Amino acid sequence: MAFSFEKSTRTILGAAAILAATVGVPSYAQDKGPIKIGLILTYKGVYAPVSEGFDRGLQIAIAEYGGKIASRAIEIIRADDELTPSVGVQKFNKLVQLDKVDFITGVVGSNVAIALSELADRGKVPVIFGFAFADEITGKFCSPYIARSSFSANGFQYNSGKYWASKGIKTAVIMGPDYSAGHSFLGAFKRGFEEGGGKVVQEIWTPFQKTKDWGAALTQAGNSGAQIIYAFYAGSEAVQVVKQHADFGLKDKLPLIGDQWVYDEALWPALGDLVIGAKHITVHFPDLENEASKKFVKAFRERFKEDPDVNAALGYDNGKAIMLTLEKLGGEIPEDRAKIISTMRDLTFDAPRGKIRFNAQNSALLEKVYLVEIVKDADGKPRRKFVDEFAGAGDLSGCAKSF
Amino acid sequence: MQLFLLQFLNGLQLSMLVFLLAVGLTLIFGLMNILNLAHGAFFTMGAYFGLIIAKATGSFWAALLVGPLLPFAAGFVLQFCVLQPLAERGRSTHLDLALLTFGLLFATAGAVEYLYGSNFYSIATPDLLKGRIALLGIEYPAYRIFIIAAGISVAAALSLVIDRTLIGATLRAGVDNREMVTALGININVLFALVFGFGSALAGFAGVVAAPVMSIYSSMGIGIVVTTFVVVVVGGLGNLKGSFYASLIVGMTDTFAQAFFPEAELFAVYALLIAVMIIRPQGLFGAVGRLA
Repeated sequence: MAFSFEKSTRTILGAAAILAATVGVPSYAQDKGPIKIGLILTYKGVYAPVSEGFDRGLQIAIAEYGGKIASRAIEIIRADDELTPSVGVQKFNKLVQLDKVDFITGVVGSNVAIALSELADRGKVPVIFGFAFADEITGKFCSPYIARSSFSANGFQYNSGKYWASKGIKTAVIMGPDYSAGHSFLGAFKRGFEEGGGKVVQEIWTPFQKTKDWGAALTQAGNSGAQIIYAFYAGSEAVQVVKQHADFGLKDKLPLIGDQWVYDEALWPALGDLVIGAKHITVHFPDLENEASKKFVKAFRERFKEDPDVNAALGYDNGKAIMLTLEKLGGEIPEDRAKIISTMRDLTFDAPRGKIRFNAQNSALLEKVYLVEIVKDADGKPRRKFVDEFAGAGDLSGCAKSF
Repeated sequence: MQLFLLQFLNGLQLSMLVFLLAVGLTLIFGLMNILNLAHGAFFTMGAYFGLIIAKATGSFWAALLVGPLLPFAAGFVLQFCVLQPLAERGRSTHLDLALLTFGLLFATAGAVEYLYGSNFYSIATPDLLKGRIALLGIEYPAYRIFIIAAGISVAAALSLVIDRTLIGATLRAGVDNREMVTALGININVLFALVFGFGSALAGFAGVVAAPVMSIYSSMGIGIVVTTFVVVVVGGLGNLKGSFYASLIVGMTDTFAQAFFPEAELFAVYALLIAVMIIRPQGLFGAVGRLA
């Protein structure tokens, strides 16, 4: 009997702990301890390099504050979501219930982010997404417990479409992986491009992570008579598309224009000289001339002995938003943790990518999007050169709640 | 017409790449009745070893020659030291071996990621095969022509060796009557291990051939397993010529679907697989009496 009694006490204690975690731990209970942040990323597989960059950028931001706010240390507890919503949910629950984190940050995949956004809303646990570009995250799935420090697909690509249309490009082929991120990024480009007077003459959607040979698609694109291919790909798919595009002699005839992931520096070793002369849009590059960027790049180089990629810049933005928020809160975690998010929403700060402010749905906006060209520097190494800039677009509406 | 010709060449190129990938698997299955899911691991090994050689020597051709040696050795050791002893202890049902080799596939991807990280690499296209070749009024990338030639050469060489040489005769005899071959003084275990190694080397060869067009990364071998199995099943389990024709069917289906019916691309090849499994489970080109 004693045994079963012990067991049931434990169950009650466990239930109480879960209850406490979901309802919100009163701030006095943890005055002395560190502020705990759960960092969910995809540390293995396709998005491992992306996650590592983000993690490093975040560390730079925290180090800038000496690793503490109001003499409370910042403790990061990491978890790997394996780019799978169900695993992400497990890790979320583990971080909240076992590790008792104050809030959660990171999350690469929009699929995982959508799964977590509902949990965050129901459990009243703040989540500050650091990637998760799908428009729906702060649209259809918006919540007072969700913020996004990066940007939305529409914010990044809509004005890019308008920009290219204004530069004398009348016809384009869009090409991307046939899944949600591909559709939201290229869909935003298409809306902007066609509103600007251009025409998308062909859309090529390739099965995500199943396609290895782009010969057929590229041949069709080469035959379409369009002026550019506008692509969204990442990782191994980006390498294959860029290489095969060059193999077919389309580099001058039908330039492949894309974003920071198609021409990610992680892919440069695999692409060699093929990247030279390529143009793409990005939110940050190491030679960007502004104070915040210089400071960040310098700190990053000192610590990691290499240039930060755009993922590191996104990690830094995320960390900076968190640290500024915590500073404003005086290192106290408020009883209603939605206040963390609303405090963040009111921030405006200079980030490496430009000024960051948030919209009413807690989604960070892009002040500027940069067009860069990859050139060879004096040592023969590829380097990004500034070409032009344009303003980022607003987010799509779609949030039915008000907060 | 030009567009059709271009797409036909694309289809042929993809078919030959698929054939290079699948032929080793067919060979192993046909001769030893082993369902080797680790085939993708040997593909990865060949590509990475080729990359190391290409970096050290700066030569694609050296990579192409030496790259397959590591998967050859690994395949030989796997068959001789692991699979053969298992078979002798009676643990060699398809399920046993499929589970073992399936685990090996993922273990290799994990080990490669541990050693090389999850970065992307590539082997540069050799100077000789850079650029494009003009033929019949179109221009086609020279390297893709090379892939087509490599596939056809391997197919021709294999069919010659198996049909016309003493080694081929010994192999065929070993499959039909193992005891008799052993009685004639041939060490069948070594022979089988050599064939396993050779099949793995072909996968490694495909890895190096694919490297300049695609890219090298830790989980590259996992994605190819399904496609190669479709080829092996459609072609008839263990049927070398069948796998050649099946590669053509799979490559052409995939290319023409991608070009003209993109919605069907993902679906087309699997629909073919299901149809074959229902109507002719021994494969479109399967010989009578050689069921798995």
